[in-house]
Amino acid sequence: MKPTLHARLLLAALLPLALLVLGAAWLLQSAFAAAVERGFDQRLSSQLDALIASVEPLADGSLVVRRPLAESAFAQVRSGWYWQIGDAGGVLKRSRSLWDAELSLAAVQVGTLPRHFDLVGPTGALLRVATRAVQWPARVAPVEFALSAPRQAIDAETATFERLLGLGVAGLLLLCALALWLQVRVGLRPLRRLREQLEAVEGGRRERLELPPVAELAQLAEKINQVLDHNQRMATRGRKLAGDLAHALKTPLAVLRGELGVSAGSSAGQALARLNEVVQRHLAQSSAQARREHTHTELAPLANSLRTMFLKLHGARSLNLGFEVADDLAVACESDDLSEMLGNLIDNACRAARGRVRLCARSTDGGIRIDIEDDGAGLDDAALAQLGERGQRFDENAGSGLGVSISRDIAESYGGTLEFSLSELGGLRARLQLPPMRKAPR
Amino acid sequence: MRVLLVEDDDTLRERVRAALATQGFVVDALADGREALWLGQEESFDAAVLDLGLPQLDGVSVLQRWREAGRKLPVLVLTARTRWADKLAGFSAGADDYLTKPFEMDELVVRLKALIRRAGGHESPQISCGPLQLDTLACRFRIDGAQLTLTAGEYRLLAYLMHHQGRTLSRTELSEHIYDRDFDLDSNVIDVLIGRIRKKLAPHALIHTERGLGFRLAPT
Repeated sequence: MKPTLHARLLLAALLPLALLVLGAAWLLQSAFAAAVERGFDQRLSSQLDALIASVEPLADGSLVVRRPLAESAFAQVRSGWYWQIGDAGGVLKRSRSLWDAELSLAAVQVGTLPRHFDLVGPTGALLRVATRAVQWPARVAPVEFALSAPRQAIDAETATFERLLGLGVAGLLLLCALALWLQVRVGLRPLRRLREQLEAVEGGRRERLELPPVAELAQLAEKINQVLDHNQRMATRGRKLAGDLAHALKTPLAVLRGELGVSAGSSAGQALARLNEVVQRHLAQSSAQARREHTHTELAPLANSLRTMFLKLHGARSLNLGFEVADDLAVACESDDLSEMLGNLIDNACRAARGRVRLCARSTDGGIRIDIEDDGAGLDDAALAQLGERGQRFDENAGSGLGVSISRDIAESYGGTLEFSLSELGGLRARLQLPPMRKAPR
Repeated sequence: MRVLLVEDDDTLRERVRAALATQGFVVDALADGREALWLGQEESFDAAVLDLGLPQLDGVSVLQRWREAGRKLPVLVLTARTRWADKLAGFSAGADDYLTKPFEMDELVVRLKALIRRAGGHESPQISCGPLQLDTLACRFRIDGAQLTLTAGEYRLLAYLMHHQGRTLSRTELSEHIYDRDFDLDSNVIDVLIGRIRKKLAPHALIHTERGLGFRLAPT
């Protein structure tokens, strides 16, 4: 399956949107984590300050912790909340929670300004540490203060936030996708309608496109309409050209026939007849191909004028032409083509008939059925079978084969059929079946 | 019999004119639809052979206007268009028969004769008047079963009388229908011809003189 316009539009809109939202989420998350850490560091610093303030150096250089830090966690062993006082020589004092362990600050340069960093604690858990060095006059070496809290306290806080953020981002993206899908669907609806109309044009149910209410598509539809009109004009012109060609060729053919003084049996006569057949056949086909399906023809008036014509043509024979055609019958067929088919078949019937020709048209489930029967001699099985074959050769004596094969070509170009059988009148019955009228939306 | 022939192709027109002339027709041959319209309305013809694809004014329009003007002459239409729709258009305009190009000249003649005969109310190609018989196809007269030898002029005159037997035909009408347009109406050629035909028909007196009006063909 080919990628749809739908999918392309959705993808093109969703991809940058997703990148944007994810980027923003990342920025937000970083800023939040940094803020949480800074806040935590400040708490550590203030507790460190309290620790420093509680320490008093004695005259002998030793230190005394006057007021231990109130936080109970500092008393709880291995809680991660530790403090430690030391100098270059080693640890001087430590919180109860540290017990006999110590914070390994060897790799750290402890300065007089507070510093914060991560450190692996005695239990192996990550700690957040604040350090600061203090210089007392009584002591030569600066005293290094360190205070720690479990890193996990910060991480837990950011993790909660990240979870919320993730949910928010996912929800936002989902909503955006939904909105985009709706937008694309609504936006592309006129396009779908345009396609349906084009299908209707193809199926012959309408001739042109209705202009959609969207400016861009209206221009497109206008262009398509122009192309359709152009095609129609070309088809009409082609048909007219075919007619003109007939006129141009037929008169010289008549002259040739006369000048040669040929009889139908001679080779020149046969060649002329062949030439005539080729011209007629191609003309019938060219106009059949140029035809469109959406026209329809009232059957009754056409049948009537055909009847009048054939009565005149066979005036000497006082033929009985019985036509039974309901008034409201219409055929999905151009008038010219219908009169061509009926004309050929009625003409054949009139030639074959002894005195009676019957035409009967009725509407059936499969469309319109027109039977044309005569009371002539009929045909034997072999001839009947031959009449049923497509593209059979023109029988120059009877002169009926070409008409039959042209009629069949036309009928089939409309999706219809032409069949022959024996009539109850004694002669031949031609059954022309044409597809039903398509309901044209008007 | 005077026939109006309208065909724009010079070669074909000349061939048809020649073929009709040998069959005893007086032919007025035209190439143009407008002239045909005018002549068909102005003068009296026994039939017309009309090509549908004409310059200036097409055959269907010419035919339509003739019919509108009340011209009832039988018209045989020639058409290069083989579709029944075109033939139907011709018949709706008032055609009586058609021929599709290319056609056999013999067929044209036979059909034209049949049209003229039927217009006169004669269904069979054999027209008879008492002991006198005309085979329109063979262009031969018989009287009492024996062949009648006539000159071309005599044949044309007697054939016209035969087609319109029972009617009194004026000298003007007769000369119009058996001679070309430039024939001098003052001469007494018609009377001379009638006299000669009467002699050949004797002892049967089939041609009657209506004083001051013209001649009438009728048995006894």
